[in-house]
Amino acid sequence: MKLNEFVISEAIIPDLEAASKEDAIRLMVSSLKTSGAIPEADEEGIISAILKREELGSTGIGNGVAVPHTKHPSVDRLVATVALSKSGVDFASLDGEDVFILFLLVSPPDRPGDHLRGLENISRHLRNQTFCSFLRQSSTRKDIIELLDEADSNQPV
Amino acid sequence: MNCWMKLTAISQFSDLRVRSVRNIHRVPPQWLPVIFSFVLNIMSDAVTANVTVPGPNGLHLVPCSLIAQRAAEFACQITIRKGETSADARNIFELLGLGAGGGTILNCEASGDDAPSAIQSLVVLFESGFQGHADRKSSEG
Repeated sequence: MKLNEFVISEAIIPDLEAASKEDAIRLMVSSLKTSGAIPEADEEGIISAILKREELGSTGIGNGVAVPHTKHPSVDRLVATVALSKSGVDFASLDGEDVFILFLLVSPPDRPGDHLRGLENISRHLRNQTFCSFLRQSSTRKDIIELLDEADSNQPV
Repeated sequence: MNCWMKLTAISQFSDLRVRSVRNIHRVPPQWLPVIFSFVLNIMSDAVTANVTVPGPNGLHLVPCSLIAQRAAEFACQITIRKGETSADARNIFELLGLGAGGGTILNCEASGDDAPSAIQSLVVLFESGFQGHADRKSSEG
């Protein structure tokens, strides 16, 4: 599974300005709605589900990265968006550091394999410091899309 | 394999090994790598166990966090392998990168003083289905 198969280009936020974890999640889900990847009627439901998931344990997994996510019946395939914060967001991460790179995923409840493959793909790229460094330096949606495409083309088939 | 078991194994095989060394020229060359790897295994500090990934959701974020937390309680180095892919058990990114679905068999290997305890603890964690640690979390991803 490649990043461009589930990351919605139109929903990418290169300059996230969020004061809190909830703010960041709201803005990212809203961006998915605006791009048409999730139904408008389910926006609040998805935000609530992601926030509920965060209560169980932060998805800020260290290295300045967070992967907020939920399973929701409003989608019939895995969809995701990326956001970059220049100033950092307090995500109550496992390492106590702010996050600068956020991948938000929404997947159908009956396809746990897709969810797992999405996480696998994202984590494989995010453990590469060079990828993270270039991603954090990206300032436009076009830069991010190009970087994701490059990562896709370099990954083993 | 703990130290006592290793010492027993070594003492049982020591005579055989001495005689084997004397007669090394008689050993078919194709057997040498097998013998070498067997001796290395006996001498190694590594402790290994196979575990099965429980549940339909596989090693998603919650199990990976629990494994990393558990691994951090031990001083030894722990590696978890799925086929040719390996992950440092303390590294959530590497664990997620295994992409291990439910039912996948993983090999856990630990090296160091507390390796037997670490492996035992990980086996218990997998066998519990990550329940009792995060009942609700494990279905939430």
